[in-house]
Amino acid sequence: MSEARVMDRYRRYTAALGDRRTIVWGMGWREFMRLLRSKWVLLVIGLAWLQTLLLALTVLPFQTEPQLIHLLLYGDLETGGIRLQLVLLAAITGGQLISRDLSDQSIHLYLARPLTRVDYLLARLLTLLLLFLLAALLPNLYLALVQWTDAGYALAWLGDHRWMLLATVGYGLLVAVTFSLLALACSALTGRSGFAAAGFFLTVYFPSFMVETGYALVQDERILLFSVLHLLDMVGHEMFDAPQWATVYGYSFEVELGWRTPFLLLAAVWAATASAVTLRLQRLEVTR
Amino acid sequence: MIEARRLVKQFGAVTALAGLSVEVPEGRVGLLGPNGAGKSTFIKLALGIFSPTSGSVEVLGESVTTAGPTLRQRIGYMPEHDCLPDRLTGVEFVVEMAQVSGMARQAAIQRTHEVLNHLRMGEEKYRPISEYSGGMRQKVKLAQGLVHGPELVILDEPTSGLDPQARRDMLRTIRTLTELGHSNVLLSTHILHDVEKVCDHVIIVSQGRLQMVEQVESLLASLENWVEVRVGEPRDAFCKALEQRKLEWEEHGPALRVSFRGDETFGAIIAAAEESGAPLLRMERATRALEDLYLEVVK
Repeated sequence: MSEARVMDRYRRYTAALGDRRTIVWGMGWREFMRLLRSKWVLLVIGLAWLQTLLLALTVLPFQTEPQLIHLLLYGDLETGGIRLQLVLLAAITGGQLISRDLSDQSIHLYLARPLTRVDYLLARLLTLLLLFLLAALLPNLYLALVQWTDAGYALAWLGDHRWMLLATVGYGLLVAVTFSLLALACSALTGRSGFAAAGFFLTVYFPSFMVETGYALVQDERILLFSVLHLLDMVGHEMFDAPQWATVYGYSFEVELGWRTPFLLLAAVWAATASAVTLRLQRLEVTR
Repeated sequence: MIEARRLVKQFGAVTALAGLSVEVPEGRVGLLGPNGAGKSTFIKLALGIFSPTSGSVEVLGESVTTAGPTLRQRIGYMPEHDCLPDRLTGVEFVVEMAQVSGMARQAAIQRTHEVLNHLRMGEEKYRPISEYSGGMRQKVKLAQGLVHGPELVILDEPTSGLDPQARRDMLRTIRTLTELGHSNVLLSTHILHDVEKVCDHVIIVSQGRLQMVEQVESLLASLENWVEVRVGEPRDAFCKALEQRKLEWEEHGPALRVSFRGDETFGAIIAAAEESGAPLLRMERATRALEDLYLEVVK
């Protein structure tokens, strides 16, 4: 193309620009695809899928309550669950997402585009949600599918268990949003991916260890409400309409804390973490 | 292009803007002011990143408060500080920024190459940003601000940290590309030379207030072409003799400043001295630079 035509193209250019929803979705999707090129991310997702397969082969044939298999899958490693893999995934990916933009300061360019701070947070959250859906929701749906095939592909089985299927999706999202927000908050507050990953691990496992120790000492089940992992367990049992069970040092026992308090506390964790990220971003603009 | 009315922005006890009212005209406009004058705060208010403590600001005919972030699709912004991700190549980064502005992938790729080619990035655009020189980093920062074809480009200290050659190239590029793309430019800087080279208008701010809005051309014309004259008594008679010869003059400390109208001005001044009987002690062609005016204004 001649230089004159190149100049003319440049001169006459008018961009066709999408709306904010498209931009947020695009940002989330591109980052998701980029993370899928990481061998560590693929390894953790592969381990979660392998664990699911093992659970389907070893536990599912002896499980009489269909919804319990899903709760088991979200549980600890020793019960056949993939919780450790999910925490690892959040630490590896969520830890770097915002901290990377903070450390190279490209965050200022993102926030000078047609995005609010909340849009930016949503875009980053979307990336993690997609990863969690791949790592946790797909295996859960696989387990539901196996149960359905065991039931002889009966449509009646799907009708009878529709709440279980909804809970599978709903709880998957709940776990994904909780871990994602915590990881993003650690990422935004530390500004360094290594610190963020370590901070996320501590935020998740340290309170869990502390409340279990506290429970062993005072025997008051309300102390378990101060751990995100225990909160998620309680909410999960409520969603699947199963009796609330808590695990302390590997021993499981039934607790009676109702549904309202764990749900409200989890909502408070979401609000606090989302606010922490947006405030951090706001503060960042003031100081630059 | 930008209209601010009684704009106040406070950060705690610090007042960054103290009732700034200014109408930024279309074209290429320089925003001049010393460090801490409120230039960056004004830019961020115009971008809608901050909300004003009081007052209002309109950009491209829309209120920043009501139009929200979508107004930023019509604006390109090049910040002063380094903000490039070293892990990406120049092309990857500009494509990402184009998509974050709302462009579809194919259009973003095509436009990125067009802009980077105009910036003479050559094959360097495929190299990681971590390997770029200061000048190339500035070019990539400029490219991401231009890629979505904005109506207004806000450049914050675009020549900061560049060597003289790179600075000259950057100024020429800014002028050429914004002329080609019919973009309005707001160039924030404390380097007067940059304003002289690129801008049609200049706005001077200091201590969060507007000090001056003027056309660069007429400002430069008014600044230059003085003859500084020192005469003995009778000085009044000398001044009258100047007026008779249609020469304008003004007091400037112990000296007089007489407007320069060509080489014949010197002859006219000598004749005025002879006629009035005032001894001519000193006569010197003096040009006042934009810098002198700037220092006077911001004092």
